[in-house]
Amino acid sequence: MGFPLFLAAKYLKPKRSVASVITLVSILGVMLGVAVVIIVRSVMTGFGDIWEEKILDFKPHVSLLPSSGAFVEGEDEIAAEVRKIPGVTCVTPEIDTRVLLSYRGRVLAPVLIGVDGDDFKGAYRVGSPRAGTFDLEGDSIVIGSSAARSLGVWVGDEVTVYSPKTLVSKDEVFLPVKWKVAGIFSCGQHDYDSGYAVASLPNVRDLMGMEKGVFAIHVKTDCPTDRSKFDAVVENAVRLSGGNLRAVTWREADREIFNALAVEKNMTALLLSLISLVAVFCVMNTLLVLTVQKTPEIGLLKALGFRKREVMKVFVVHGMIQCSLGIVLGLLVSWAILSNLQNIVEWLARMGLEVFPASVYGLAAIPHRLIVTDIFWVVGLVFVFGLAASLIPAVCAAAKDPVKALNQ
Amino acid sequence: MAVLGAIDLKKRFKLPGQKPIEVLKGVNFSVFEREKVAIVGRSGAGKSTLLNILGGLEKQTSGTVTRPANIGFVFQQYHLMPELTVLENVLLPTMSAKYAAVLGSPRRARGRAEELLSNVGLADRMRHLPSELSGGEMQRVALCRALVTEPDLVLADEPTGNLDAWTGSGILKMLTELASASHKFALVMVTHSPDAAAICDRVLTLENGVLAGGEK
Repeated sequence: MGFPLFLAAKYLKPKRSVASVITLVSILGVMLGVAVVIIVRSVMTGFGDIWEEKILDFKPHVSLLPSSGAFVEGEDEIAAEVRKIPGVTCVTPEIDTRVLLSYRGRVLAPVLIGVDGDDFKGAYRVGSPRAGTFDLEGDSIVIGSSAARSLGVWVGDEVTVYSPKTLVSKDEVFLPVKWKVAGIFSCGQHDYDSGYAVASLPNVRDLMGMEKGVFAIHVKTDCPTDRSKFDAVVENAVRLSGGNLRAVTWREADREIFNALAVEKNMTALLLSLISLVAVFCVMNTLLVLTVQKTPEIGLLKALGFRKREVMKVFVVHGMIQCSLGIVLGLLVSWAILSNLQNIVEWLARMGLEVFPASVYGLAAIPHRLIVTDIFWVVGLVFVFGLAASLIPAVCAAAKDPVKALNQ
Repeated sequence: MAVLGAIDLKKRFKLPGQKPIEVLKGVNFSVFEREKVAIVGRSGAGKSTLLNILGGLEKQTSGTVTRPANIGFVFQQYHLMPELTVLENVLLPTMSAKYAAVLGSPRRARGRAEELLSNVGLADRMRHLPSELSGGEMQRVALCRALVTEPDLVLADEPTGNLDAWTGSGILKMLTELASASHKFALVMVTHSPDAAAICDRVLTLENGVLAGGEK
């Protein structure tokens, strides 16, 4: 055992007690700092995962849009080719357009999705109908639960649908149509439940005054998060379309959301790293107190022939031991809390402290996922902070005058 | 052959708002191999300052000191590390990079420390902490610590100053015995005690910043 480690370990255990109280407090400080950062980052990662899952369930993984012009023609042939690509699970030619829905004086402007009735369930994973069915036969429409609530409609009611062509076409008159609400879906994401309605592709085509063609071909895959495989699917899809279509991936379509999530996570990490910094200040305080307490001993070491660097190392090693113990305990505590997070949330709710109301988040359990890189990031950060915080008292200790130190 | 030499050694202290105090005004002396020298003088004469300068713990204002690389220190306050056992305290200097090479392997250093502790009658107290020892025992441990690196010179600052006369004479006896044992070293001792001065070959008196005296 090297001398710095030998003496630093001795300093951890004072002669009159099992462990130094101030050292214990600073170790607990580091432990809390590490645990808080890891827990918060895990929960934020969990929320990010939920967002991603909801988007991947509802939105297309790839949208094939016309490179020029407004419509895709020959959509059935293209869709048949794209379906052959390994990894593709569902291909739906669609017309998506914003419409006006009205019912008894209430008006809403959702996005109306025109899709083949047979493909709806494969393309939009919205679970079982909240009410009615997802049958798009005839003049029927399926709407989200929040939209239905806003309009005050239920299954069987007839809503009036106004085409956007009414506003832009001067030569033709597009009369509103009345469609019956066949079903109500609820995917647990307010934006989707309030902002979308679904009808059959022929009906929407008629509404838009189109004889043929679609606005886009939407593709679902089994590998949206596997970058290399997904990119290959996208490349193949564009190639098979004959170069007349361009691809917009789910990450590009919802770039703002993912950017916002990334910024939020990084900002939170930055702010939480300040907690680690505060925790490491505890280590520095402890070392400063220790250097004052041990002043005669520092003088003795220098009188006995120990060099400045050797004296410094004792205090740096002492600080790093505190940080290491704090990190290990912090990792254990964060693991224990994350393993029992839902139980803790429920217990707090029973105590009257509702920290994760299901009605607000629409989730049954608080999401969380621990990423190994997050652990390395936190451990590295605390080590760097700890080293910097240990160096200051260590330099002060090494700079002490031996005679003055011995006489203190 | 001289192991320690001081030529025209001066030390001046500057205190804020006060006139500089010149404690040492040109000290010249030499200490030879295996010689025991006592430095006496009234309190505040600068004896401890002189010893610190000789040992390299403090810098002189002017003058030259020639000293060996391997020096052992004995302090009035013992200065044992309370967290370390008796054996660890004795072994402490051997853990420094400076002295690690002097004694070679840690096993040899440990053997030397145990032998010294046996010589001073503390063979059965090696695992004890300093807080479990008497003043005399602590000073014996401090003596062993000073000698564990087999120094050429031992500088002792009032080694019996904190001890009663009976215990103090015991320490002096041990110091004499150790000095004449297998490893022989020169000794410079600052003391107020006539008994301590009596064991030395020469007694020098520090007065008005200069050393006076000669052969015993």
